[in-house]
Amino acid sequence: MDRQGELIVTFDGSFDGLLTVVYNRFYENLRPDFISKRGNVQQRLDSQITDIETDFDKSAKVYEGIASKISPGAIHTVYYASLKDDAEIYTKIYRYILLGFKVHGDINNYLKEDYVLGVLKAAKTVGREANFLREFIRFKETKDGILYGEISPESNCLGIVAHHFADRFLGLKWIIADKKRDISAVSGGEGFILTDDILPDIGEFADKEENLIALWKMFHKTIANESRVNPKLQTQLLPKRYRKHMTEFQIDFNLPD
Amino acid sequence: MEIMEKLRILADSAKYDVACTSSGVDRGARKGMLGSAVSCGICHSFAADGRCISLLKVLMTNYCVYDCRYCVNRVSNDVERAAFTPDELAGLMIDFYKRNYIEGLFLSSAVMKNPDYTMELLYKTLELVRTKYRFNGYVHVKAIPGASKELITAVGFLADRMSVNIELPSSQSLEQLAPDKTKESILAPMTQVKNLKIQNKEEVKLYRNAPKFVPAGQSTQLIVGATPEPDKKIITLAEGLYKKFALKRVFYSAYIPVPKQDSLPKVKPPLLREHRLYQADFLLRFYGFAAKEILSGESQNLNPNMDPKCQWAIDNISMFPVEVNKADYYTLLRVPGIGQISAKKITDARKTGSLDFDNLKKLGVVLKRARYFITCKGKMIDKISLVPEVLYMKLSENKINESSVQMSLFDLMPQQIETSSGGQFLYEEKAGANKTRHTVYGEDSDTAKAGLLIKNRENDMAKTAPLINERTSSTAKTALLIKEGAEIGWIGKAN
Ligand code: SF4
Repeated sequence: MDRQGELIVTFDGSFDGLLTVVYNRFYENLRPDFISKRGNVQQRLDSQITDIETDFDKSAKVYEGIASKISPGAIHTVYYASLKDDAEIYTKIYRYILLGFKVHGDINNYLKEDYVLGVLKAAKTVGREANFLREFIRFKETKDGILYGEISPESNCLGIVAHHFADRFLGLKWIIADKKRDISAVSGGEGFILTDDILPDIGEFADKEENLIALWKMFHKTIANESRVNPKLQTQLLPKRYRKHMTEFQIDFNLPD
Repeated sequence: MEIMEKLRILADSAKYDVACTSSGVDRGARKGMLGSAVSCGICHSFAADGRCISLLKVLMTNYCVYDCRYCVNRVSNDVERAAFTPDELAGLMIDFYKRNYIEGLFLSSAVMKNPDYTMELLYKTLELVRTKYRFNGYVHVKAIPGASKELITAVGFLADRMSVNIELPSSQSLEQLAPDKTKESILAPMTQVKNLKIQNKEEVKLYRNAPKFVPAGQSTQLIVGATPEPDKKIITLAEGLYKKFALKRVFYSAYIPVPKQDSLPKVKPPLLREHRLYQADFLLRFYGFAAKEILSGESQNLNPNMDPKCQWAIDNISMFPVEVNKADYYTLLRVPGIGQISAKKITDARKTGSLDFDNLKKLGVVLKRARYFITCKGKMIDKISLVPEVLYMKLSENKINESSVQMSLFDLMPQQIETSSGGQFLYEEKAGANKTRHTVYGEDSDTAKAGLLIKNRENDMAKTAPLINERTSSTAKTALLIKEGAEIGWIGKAN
């Protein structure tokens, strides 16, 4: 068939959606030049756009294919990479998976291919941000005993962070809200769900919260050695953008210095 | 006393303890229990001194009957004192944990009344943490030298890591500065922990559910700079401790002078020295270096201007450059600037084809230091002579005029002019008395200065410099250096 210009495939931006696009490459011979989240692409004169609906059966097949033909680690890599806030990333992941089906477990050694490197870097960036958040997210307890924390990450890593707390806070009720994307992870003690529903009011925070925050701030201040103060190092290790939600860096306006 | 006051006092007196990492055990969540532990450790915040805050690091109490002279809490010092009750501390720690402020507890103590009394307080606290609150996360506790075996054993079954501070690098220093502690009282619990751990490993093998004794092992800490032991002694001691007691970590703590104490020298904390010791420690633990390799020469102390691996490479320049496409993992590890991650990346990536410098850069291998010690497909990145002096100048982390050692060499040069033109540095010196002029060119000011430095060194110094061979054929600029060097007779011929 004579195709004019390049083919752009759009999908819903989910991981399963992306895997469905890969499925269509093999079963529908749909060969995209560029893959984009729905609504994020501007049509050019010489390009044509095809939209793909997410299909969980199809994505499951590709998922298994990646795990068995490439490596279980590759699933992890492409999943993490797909969460990166980057318009180019889906196309790179697509090409990464295609090459992976050819060279199997060796895929990550093909660093000379820019897209392989791109995917690995993206996965690492996302992983690093998730790590940061898992360390730096702060919770407050509500009167009903729910632990509530907020984040606003650059990549869409709420799921990864929530996964960590599903383990750590097993048996506790907790909510993590991504204020940037208006989505939340909610747990009633076991597992969690991700939702973009507006959450019901969580009520007031417990009475002891204020005192605990004061105790924590005091500890944070006290524990530093004056003779070693090193704000540059502190900033390098704990980038300022993460401090917004961190209790110990919130300024008390009502406390005298 | 308000808990706020107690926390202020007891966190303040715990802050000099540096052995605060949460690591060494991986323990997933368990039903009915609170929390988990992650073996790589998690930092929850960073304090103003840039150090990671991972654990609630406090003393049980700072009331002390001992009189260690380097310590703020010694009995003869006039400081505010406080003591947590086990209930207060356990409750506070669990509340902090649930807010994700911390990863666990790091509990140490001064010696209140006597070692057993203190150890019992620690035991009660851990017992609450583990049984009342069913805490499944990380706990590091100090064993108090002199406490009974039974207590140390009981506490060891509740903690993830236990440590006994060795405090000072020699028993003479201990005698002088910590008169209430002896080498024996410190080594006894260390030996006990080591033996119990071996025994426990067997039990756990037999009965999978047998309780674990300090699963994250033991560590120790010593103070650097309060007493005169040189680095060589400290590194050798550390090596011995790793071997004899199967320690997980030795922590070095730059001595921070305690006010109002005349018998101790008033010094700034030797942070750079501490940093170099940690680097040397790293070489011991992860890079397969032996203590005697790290300080092989005359020098008793690590060079403050250069990381010990760099120094080692320059001292052993005849082993370099190594070919990136052929050298095995351990050889790559010995290249300055190549760490475990880079070495692994290189050995993996070269399976699909040989690597050049661009590939290395893409892999994320930092060439800043490595470039002087490696070849790719037989070539160096640019023509660099492997003369130790040149390398030393290039890799030294201190600029020349900040370094007193180098200062003395430059005393020979009364007047120096540095200019650069066309990307090339010109470095001129007019010697005072006879007004002879040397002009040296270099790719950058460091090489130029190094060239000048070499010129001005005495002949016998030059003889120790390894010979330059053809693999480092020179550019016009370095050729000039070498030619001039040969003229004044300090450099040998190529072999
Ligand atoms: S035993 Fe020595 S080091 Fe420990 S708190 Fe007492 S005086 Fe300080």
